[in-house]
Amino acid sequence: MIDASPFMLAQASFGWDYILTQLFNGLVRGGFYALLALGLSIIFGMLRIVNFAHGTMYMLGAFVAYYGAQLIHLPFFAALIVAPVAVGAFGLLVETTLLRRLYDVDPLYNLLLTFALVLVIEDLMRLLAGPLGSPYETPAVLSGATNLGFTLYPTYQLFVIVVCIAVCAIVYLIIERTALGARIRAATEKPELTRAFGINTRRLISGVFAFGVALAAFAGVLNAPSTNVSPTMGDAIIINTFAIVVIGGMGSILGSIVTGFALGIIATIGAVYYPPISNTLIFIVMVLVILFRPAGLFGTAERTT
Amino acid sequence: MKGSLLRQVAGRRGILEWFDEFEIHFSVTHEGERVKLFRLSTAGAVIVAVLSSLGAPQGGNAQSGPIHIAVITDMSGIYSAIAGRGAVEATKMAVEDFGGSVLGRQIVVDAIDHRNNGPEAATKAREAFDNGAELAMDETNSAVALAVDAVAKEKHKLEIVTGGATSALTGASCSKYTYHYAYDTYALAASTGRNIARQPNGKTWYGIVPNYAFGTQMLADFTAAIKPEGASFIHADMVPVANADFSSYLLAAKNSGAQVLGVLNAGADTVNTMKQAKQFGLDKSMKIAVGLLFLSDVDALPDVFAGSRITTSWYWNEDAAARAWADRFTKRLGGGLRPTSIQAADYSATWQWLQAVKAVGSVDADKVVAYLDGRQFNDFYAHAAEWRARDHRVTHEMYVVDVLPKEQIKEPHAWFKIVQVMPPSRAFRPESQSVCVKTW
Repeated sequence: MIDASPFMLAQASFGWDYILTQLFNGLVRGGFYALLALGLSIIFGMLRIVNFAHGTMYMLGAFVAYYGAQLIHLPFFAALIVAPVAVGAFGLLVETTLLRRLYDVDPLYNLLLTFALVLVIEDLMRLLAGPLGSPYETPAVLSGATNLGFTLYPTYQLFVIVVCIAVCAIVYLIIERTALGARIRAATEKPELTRAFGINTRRLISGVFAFGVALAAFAGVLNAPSTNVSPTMGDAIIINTFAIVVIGGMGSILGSIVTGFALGIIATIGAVYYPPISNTLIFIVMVLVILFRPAGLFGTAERTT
Repeated sequence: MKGSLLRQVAGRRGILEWFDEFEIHFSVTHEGERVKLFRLSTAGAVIVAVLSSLGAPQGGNAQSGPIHIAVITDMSGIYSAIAGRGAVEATKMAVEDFGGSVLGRQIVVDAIDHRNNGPEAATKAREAFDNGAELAMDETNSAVALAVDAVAKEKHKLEIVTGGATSALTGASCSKYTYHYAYDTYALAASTGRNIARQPNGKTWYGIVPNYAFGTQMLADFTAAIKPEGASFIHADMVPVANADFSSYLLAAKNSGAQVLGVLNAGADTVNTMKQAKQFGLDKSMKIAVGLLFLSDVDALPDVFAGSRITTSWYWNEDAAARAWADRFTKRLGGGLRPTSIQAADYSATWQWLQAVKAVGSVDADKVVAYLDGRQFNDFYAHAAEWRARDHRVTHEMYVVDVLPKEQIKEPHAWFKIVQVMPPSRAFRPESQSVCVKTW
């Protein structure tokens, strides 16, 4: 066996245009982190449960797109709407039949329940689709490259960046600026008091869970053209997402979005300079944040007590 | 309800204590009536119960009872499509074609799921050998193959690896009781690597390599293989296994000006790399060398692999004999699938072993090895083959093939077009370069 380290020393010199292009790569990766962390965060904020099955919902989203394309020639852009709706409905079912029964007991029960869901759903998908990848192509209008002036960049990846930023901004504005968002925030902070005002918090909770899960499914569809659509595709990305939610501050909406994009860029640039560290970098940041700012970068003390 | 989850898990309450709060009832339904067997209240007892039920001895007479062949393969994980159930069925086919018995003893094929876990595979192999297995087969996963290699050596039982790739099996870890039958990292490099390096624009390589034993062995073997053609790696990225985002490495590869992208990973990592390489248009600006690819990978994602040049030990449509066997295999599995090279190798190796057992009149591994060493043979799978005595590499022809695009295939699964037949002497590591320290 030959030591591979000499290969890693011979790095090409990096121009600014190269680094800038890598920044775009970071935004793509960060976009997925942000979408997933956002869903995870609003679910945690509202329901106080850590949804272990979030990565599974992401995987289900990709499979809805895949089966849609296979069975009824569902186009990619339609899948971006159909998959979140379908998976959101499934989430609603999970919340009303399973999760709801466990709100009054220790959060550990919900953690175990969502973890069990991961195992069951992943195995069912393995039976249905097989352990190997299922094909999903980049839509024709978005294939090819776009000239950014300093480089040619894949059109699809640009599309991902734009869509992720837009969706994150819309969700943020809904929660921070609308009456519905105000109710959600109220129900998050003071559930009893909110109920006393005659607001149906139970329905709000169901809706928020379904919405958070739908965001994960949306991310799944968005990543299907770039990744191996398989039952285990959610496993790797969800661990990173948990770390990002902790770094951003559990339950913090803005924290999830900003941290998601920032960590995507950090992990990508880290991978350029020292490839083996790319996945570890996120956890190094997490350890530092937990040590020096346990509530997370954007978390308030109240939210994490 | 309040309190961060992290603190809950880490602090005042452990998972095991949580289990303590449950009482678990074990019961069976007997003639419509529920009969309570026993009740457990601690996690420890649950674990003991599960472990003891898994490890129950099966008995078996080593001298006169049936002869067991243990197919140690991946039945449900990432390699189950390239080996898995098809590997078990191929082995059973060989046994049935042989008549179902040898030396007057019935032959039984046992499917053992290694779950891609080396230590677990070693335990199961030990158990299988203790319960009458005379041969361990398949082992699609290098870590599993190496783990069983050690057990076979200790038990003096035979192991024929058809699935695992690492050339260490006939190198640093070579053993009297292990033959490496189908292909290895050296052969992939010597065929795919050299074929591409020989072309005028195949001289500078950029590697994307998984950061573990298989990857470093692939990189080492590819580096050595392309050197005589004047080609070399200008850079190789050691990427964590099970990676989802390859864009930074792909962009760096594009930026490096290298002529060839060496995709030296496996499974889902290869798919992710190739999908993203297409988005970045790398398939147009660079040659792409895929280190390890199977027919079932192409079945799953034809568009991703179209145009790749790879190496295989066998192709179901390579000649009439291969095709005839493949037809029987496909029919047996209910249609739809064509066998992979590993599954064909499982049949071939089982058949060759049974022949040897019959010839020497014993299942004793030492006697079988003495018979096989240096023996030459030909069958539908292995052409111009030899059980090499020097390091227990089984050498035979290998095939460099191009993966055809969907529009060009003449029938389902006919993805490969053979572009070069590699004679055994060039496909595998020459004896003169063997690093096997022969202790037998």
